[in-house]
Amino acid sequence: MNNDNSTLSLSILSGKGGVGKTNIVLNLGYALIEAGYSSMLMDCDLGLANLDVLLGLSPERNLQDLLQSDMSPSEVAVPIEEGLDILPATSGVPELVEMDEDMQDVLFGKLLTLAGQYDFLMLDLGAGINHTAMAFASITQLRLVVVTPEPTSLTDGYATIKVLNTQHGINDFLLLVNQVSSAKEAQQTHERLAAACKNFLGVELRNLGHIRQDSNVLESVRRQTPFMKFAPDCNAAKDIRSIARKLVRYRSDNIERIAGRHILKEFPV
Amino acid sequence: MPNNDPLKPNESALLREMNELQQELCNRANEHCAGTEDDSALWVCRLFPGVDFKDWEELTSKNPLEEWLTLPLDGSAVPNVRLVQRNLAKLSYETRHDPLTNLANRRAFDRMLDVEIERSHRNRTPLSLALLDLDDFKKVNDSMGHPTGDLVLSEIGAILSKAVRRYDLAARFGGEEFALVLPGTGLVKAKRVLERILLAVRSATFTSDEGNEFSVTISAGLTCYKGTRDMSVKKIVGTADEALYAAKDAGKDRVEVVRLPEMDSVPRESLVQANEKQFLFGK
Repeated sequence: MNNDNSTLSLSILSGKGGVGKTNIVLNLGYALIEAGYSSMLMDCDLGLANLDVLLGLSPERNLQDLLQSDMSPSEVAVPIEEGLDILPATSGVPELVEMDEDMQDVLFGKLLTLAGQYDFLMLDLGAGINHTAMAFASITQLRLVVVTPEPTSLTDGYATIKVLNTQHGINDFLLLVNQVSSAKEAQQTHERLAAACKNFLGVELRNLGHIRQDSNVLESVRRQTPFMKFAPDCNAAKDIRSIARKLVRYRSDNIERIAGRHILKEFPV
Repeated sequence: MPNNDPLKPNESALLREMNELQQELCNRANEHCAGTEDDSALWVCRLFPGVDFKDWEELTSKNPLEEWLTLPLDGSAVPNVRLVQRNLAKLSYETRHDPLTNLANRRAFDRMLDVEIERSHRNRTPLSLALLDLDDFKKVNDSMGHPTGDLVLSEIGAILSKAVRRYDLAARFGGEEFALVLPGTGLVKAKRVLERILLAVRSATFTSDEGNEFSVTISAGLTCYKGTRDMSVKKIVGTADEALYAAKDAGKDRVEVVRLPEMDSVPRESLVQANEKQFLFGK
């Protein structure tokens, strides 16, 4: 399975729920469109189909339909904007990890054919340290851990990194600090977490950026509209744009390398 | 019920011939012929004038002839096939049940527990398992005799059958030991079910052959699986057994609980240690 379009896969995870993960994924998708890049969002948030809620959608099909019929992946994907599609996966995801290998191959074959048509594939993973989320986090090319400056979020974020490192041998992570009051607070949060990761795990935690606290974010969630659309000039939108730019740069800097790798690795045994 | 009516001469001749034939063909009397599923296996047909279906039905009810199929030369074969089907149902019931108490036997218990563990794991629903053991049952057998002991066991079987819901399973685990599988039931509810059973056992009175009234008590060990981690039949039964020992040690006629560890799906080394927290929040 080659990756001719250099699709960059990225899983977004957090230890604690409610840190704004799903909202970030969605708005990142919008920021990438602005920058001229297409993406597919895969909703793997188990049990909580948050992407649907944020957009006020109720998709009729999901990932599991791909297995049960000769349906093509593009029939399951829900178009949101030109260059931004959502693959509602919620109910099929835990089964996917435990599926036998032949079935997994069939599904992944279909999934990757679809994903290969986009520049970015973003997996919105559920909160918490569960087997499914960890398995998915270990098959993407990049992992973005979202935390807030709250101590509990920080601890849970660290625990997530620790499990992925000690159980799955993964040692590269990106950090995004959400809901910060200032750039300084974001920097401190990153420094603390990065120091702990380096000191105890020997893991490098790169800082992808932060998103400032912004009342527009809450309002946009209430209106089931992404804040990139609702208040395109608010602080949160500016921060998301800067994060999107960094991802785009990473992709273009490494475009050859990405093309030479699978979009998603195989699940660890 | 064994019927001691003498066989008619042609019936006993038939029986003798069938047994001899089977012995001859299989070399050993009570073992199935090997390779009977093979297409090339021999069909042995023997006409027996003078033995009708009713005679045959009677013969099979008294002798282990379940593997023989008779067909009438004229008339409908339906009664004959029905007889085979009835025997099949009876044998299949017998492989799953304990003859004395009519509860499920160990084989049925093992199979159901295995399935329920998987269901519990998939759906993250609780599954309770209790092992029960009659207190000082040896004394009952020794002083009142085994027939009275059997009576007690069969009454306990009746109490257990009455106490459970349709999708629960009550089994005789062996000897004077019983088991209850309660799918979808957590510790609190399961404990209530067991307390009711203990009370019912305590309140039941039995009469020995000599006319002495007596009663018995039972101890129970309970454990509950929440479906959060991998679990084996062996582990969950072992844990319930541990709880049963605790109930016996604590003075019998009671329910004791031993909890199954549920959290070890996250290995210890992946938990955040105090020194790591200090590093995260230190000044």
